[in-house]
This record gives sequence, structure tokens and C-alpha cells, in this order.
Amino acid sequence: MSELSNIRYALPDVKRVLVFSPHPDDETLGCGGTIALYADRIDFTVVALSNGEAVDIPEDNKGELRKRELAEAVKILGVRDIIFLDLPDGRFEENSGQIRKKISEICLRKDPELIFAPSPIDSHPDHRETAKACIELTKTFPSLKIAFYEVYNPIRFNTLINIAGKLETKRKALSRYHYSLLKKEGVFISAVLSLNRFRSLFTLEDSYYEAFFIAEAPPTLSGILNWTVFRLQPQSPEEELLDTLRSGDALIKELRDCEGTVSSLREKTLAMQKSIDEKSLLVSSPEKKITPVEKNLFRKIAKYFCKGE
Amino acid sequence: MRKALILTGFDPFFTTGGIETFTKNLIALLDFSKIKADLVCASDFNNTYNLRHEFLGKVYAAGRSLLSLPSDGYEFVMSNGYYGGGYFPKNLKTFTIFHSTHAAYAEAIRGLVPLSTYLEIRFIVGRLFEQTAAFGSRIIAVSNSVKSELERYYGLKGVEVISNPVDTDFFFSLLNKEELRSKHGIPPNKKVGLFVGRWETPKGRDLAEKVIRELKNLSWVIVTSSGGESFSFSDEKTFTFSGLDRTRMRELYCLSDFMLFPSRYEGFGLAAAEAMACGLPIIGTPVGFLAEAYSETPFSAFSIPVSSLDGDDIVVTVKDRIDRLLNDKDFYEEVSRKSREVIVKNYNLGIWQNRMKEILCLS
Repeated sequence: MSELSNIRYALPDVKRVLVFSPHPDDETLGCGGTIALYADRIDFTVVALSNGEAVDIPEDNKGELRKRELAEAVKILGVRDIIFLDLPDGRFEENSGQIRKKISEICLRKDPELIFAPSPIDSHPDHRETAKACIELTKTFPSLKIAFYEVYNPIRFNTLINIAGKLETKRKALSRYHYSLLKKEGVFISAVLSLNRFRSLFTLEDSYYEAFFIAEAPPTLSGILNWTVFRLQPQSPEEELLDTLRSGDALIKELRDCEGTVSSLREKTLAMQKSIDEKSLLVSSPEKKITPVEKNLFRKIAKYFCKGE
Repeated sequence: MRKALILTGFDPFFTTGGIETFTKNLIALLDFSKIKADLVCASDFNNTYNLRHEFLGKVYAAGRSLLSLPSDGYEFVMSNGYYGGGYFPKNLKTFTIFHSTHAAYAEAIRGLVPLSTYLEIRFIVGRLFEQTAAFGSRIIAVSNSVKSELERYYGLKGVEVISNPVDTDFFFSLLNKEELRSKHGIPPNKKVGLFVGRWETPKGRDLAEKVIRELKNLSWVIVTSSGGESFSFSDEKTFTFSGLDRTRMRELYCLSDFMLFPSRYEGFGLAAAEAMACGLPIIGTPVGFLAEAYSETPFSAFSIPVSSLDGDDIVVTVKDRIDRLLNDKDFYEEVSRKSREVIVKNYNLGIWQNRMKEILCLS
């Protein structure tokens, strides 16, 4: 709970905010209450990167339906300025260059002091790509602050905005998203408000909060990831390499010790002329047979070093 | 004074080997361009991070020590393969030259060494250290085969090939064969085969041993370098040497009739290239630069497929090639002449110097 002392309960003092929403609905799910709360003091522009046309519903013109829903929802939140980038839903990664170009142009035009972006730790790949593009944006606009919001995965936060007073506004805005929320808006609303409720665990107040990680200095992806896991990751690539090296070194040592034991066992086995159960052996080459223990270590080591392949 | 830093495993002035020869050539080239080369040798470091594998601990410590290098102190860093492990270039221009890949080497000896050895080479030295050593640097391979291994095993891109050089002004055929044999106590009237390399299975020690034992009418010169297995020849037809300087090596290349080069893996194969520059025909495996050389006649006739190395008829295969070579004097002379031509044309020191100057932006 020492974390509590470092939590802020208000947005930075800014006038212009861009809300980057990968699909119509993300902005309201993630930060609808905050937008509604600050709409009278801050000029918000909602930037919908895609129209969400890949949503799994049978209707035609899904993109158009969702655009309309977004316009209605953010109007309820108090936002009138909307930009649609019409990027292809579900294919942000392959269009990363275009995303970076477009959001950079918008930043030049709108000159925001703060941007809202989905967290880079989100199960939706388009959300992650949006986050990465926004992080890169700060290389060009170093004074820009980023507030990462939660959609599908909770994150470590440094800012909690009490949205209790705007809870009904958020609920109302979300209820406009019938098609976007797969015609199950009730489930979504309940889940998202539960997340907002869950955050009261940190304040021990009977309230609802939207959580953000606001990065003020130009962030790096690895810096953000490191922060979100309470700096559990090694601080530097060389430390990370050393950790991997130590683990691999230990595994090899274990295997080498095991080989010593196995080789004496093999001799005993041969002396006793016992047959070896072929089914329990892995043949790594036509001549070389290894035991299940070795096989297990082999797999462990190979898997350890080939993760991510 | 302009300065460059070279990361390597062992002091090249006290150790012999392909990487050490490369390093000495590089130091000479830099010296010519008025750049002082500082050496960082992994073997000089302590295993301060307490890895179980002592030498890898030294390699890591050596690389790690470079993190605090002043960015304006050196023009560039040249790292020899995985000896840069642990070094992450910050602001310094860095080149990593790969003399081999341990991933391909591990695959070549898989099944011939304990599983732990295979895994250590394949993953810890290879996947972990070598791949890391390529991080943030411009990558050079000493042969096309190493380039394709870097691409295949580590997914590296933009690899440039600068083939290892042979000093063809030094390595050439000395005509006084009988005198040289007399100097080294080798019979003048026997056909002499030469084996050069660490006396170990990856270099084809087992195959050479089999051939030497069975082809009794030949004499053999065996030149080993440090780090191999114990040696077991003590007969009159086998002459053994180790740790020779290049002058003695040239003499041995020139007094022999052919080189047996049954290596299971080479990044380049410098000893074979030096021998060819001296006009010595090579009977060997298509590894390293020989993969390209053996693709052309007349050399293709002397290639031993790697796949046949572990078969029963390896002695027959080698004998067939020796007979073809030694029983036709005109053919032998043609092979000898063309061997040198290939090296002079493709791998001479001048070509290497120009390519290195170009890539390192030396005047």
C-alpha cells in the first residue's frame, strides 16, 4: 500500500487532449468517465484509428454503424471533435508506418499537451500497436505526456480519477455501443464498471475510478514495461543477458552432472546385459540415444533459448 | 593519436589460430592507417560473475568491462565473434566479425559429443552469446558459408562477407622439397600427407587417425594446435609438430604432397587456404571457403562429402582421391598450380585489405 502515496488523483493541468481509440468504444470503455469529468475544462479530440469493421456481427456496413455509435457516445461524454483515420481494423501491425504518419500529422495540427492511449499491455494487438505508435510519437514531440488507459487488461497505474459523479454518464455512453459491443453491451458495461469499482481497493473509498499510467518524460517501451512490473525486469540488456546466461549455465551444469550419473548407469546396465527400453529413449541422431532425464533437460534448454521463435 | 579497440579471446601474439591471424592482420592494417589498436582479450579477465563455465564467464566479464568506454576514446570497436558477449555498444561504432557460427558447428558435431556439450555450444555460445554479439553492430562474415549460417540460425540480416586473407607473398611454393624434408627428418622418397588442426573429433581427428593407420605406405605430418585431445601416434611414419610459427608452417606445406582436411566444420579453413597458396592439393570436406573452391574442377574431384564421414568406407574414399592425385604427375601439377591461382585470385591479402579499409572507412 506504500504505492498509495505516489498516486495522483487528477489529470495534469492541460488544455488540449487527444484520445487515441483503436476502435470505436475503446475510448469510452477505458476513459469515458474521465473525459466526461473534464470535458468542461479540457478540449478533447477523439481520434478513432479504425472504424472497427472487423467486429464479429452479421450486419452490413459495420464500420459505418460503429462510427455512428462513437459519435453518439462521445457526444454524451461531452466531446464533439472526432477524427476518423479509417485504418483497417485488426491490421494495425502491418500498417504501423501509416499509423505513425497519421497520428503525427494530427499532433502537429492539434498541438495536444496530453494524449490518451491504450496500455501497451493489452491483449488486443491493435491496442498494443496504438500504444507503441504513441510512445514513438514522443520522440518527435518530447514534451507530450501520455496517459495509458485500461481496456482488456488491468495495469499498474500512477493516476486514479474518481468517476463516481460521472458513472451514469459513462454507463449511458457505453449503452450506445450496441453493435460495437457485440450486442452484449450489458456484459461489457458490468465488467468495465466492475474494474472501475475494483480500483477502490486502493483508496478504500466507496467509489469508482479509472486508472491511468501517465508517463511524463518521453517514455520508452522497455521503460514502461519495466515500470508496470514494478521494475522486476533487469535494468539493462547486459543484466538481462547475464540472467539468461546464468540460467542456461545452471541447466547445462545439471545436464552434465546427470550425464556423469547416466554414463555409470549405462555401464552397469551393459554389464548386466539388460536390454534398454527403446520406447523410453529419444534418438537425437542414429547413433546417439539419451535417457528420459536427459530428454527432459534437453527440451528445457532448447525451449529456454528458443522462446519467442 | 587515433585509436580502435579489438575484442578477442586470446592474445594473438602468444596464440596461433585463424582469429589470431586475422587480429594480427587487422592490427597491421590499422597501424598502416596510423590508428593504434588496443586489445581486450577475454582470457585476461576473471570470471567475476561466477559462471560455472569459466571461459564464458571471462568472455562476459570482458564484454561487460567495455560498457564504461568513453564514446570519444575510440573510432570503432571490432569484436571477434562471440568474444563481444556482454558488450552492448552505446555510442561507439561497432563491427562484429564472425569467423564461424557455433550453432552450425554444434549441428556438425551433434551426436559425436555429449549432449551437454552440444547444447552449450548450440545455445549458450551460439544462440545467446553470438546473437548478442551481433547486437547493434555492423556484421561481417569471413565466408559465404558463415554468412548463410548467421542468416539461418540467428536471423541476422545485412551481413557482409570479407573472406579471410592469405599472405600469398609469404605462402608460396618453396622448390627445395628434399632439403625441407631433410631439415625436418622426413624421408625424401615417401609420399607425405599433412594434417593441420586441433586433434579433436570436430576437426576429423578420428577420420585422420583411421586413414593414417590404414594407408601404411604413406608418411604423415601432423601439426596440432593447443586444446585438442591427447595424441597417440608413435611410429616411424608419423611426424608430429605443434605450435609452429608461419615460417615453419610454410615449410611443412611445401614438403608435403597433399593435405588431408577432414574437418566436420570450418568457418573459413585458413590452414587449407595457406596450404593451397603453397600449391598443396587438399583432400577434404567442402566446409568454409572450400565449399566454394570444391564447386569447381579440378578441385571437385578431391571433395569428401561430409555425409560420408561417418560411414565405414571413409578410408576407401580418401584412398581413391589420393591415388587419383598422386598417380598422375601432370594432373598433380595442374591441381597444384590451380590451387595457388584460386587463392591468389580470391583470397589474397590485398583484396582483404581493400575491403577492410572500405568497411572501416580507413584512408
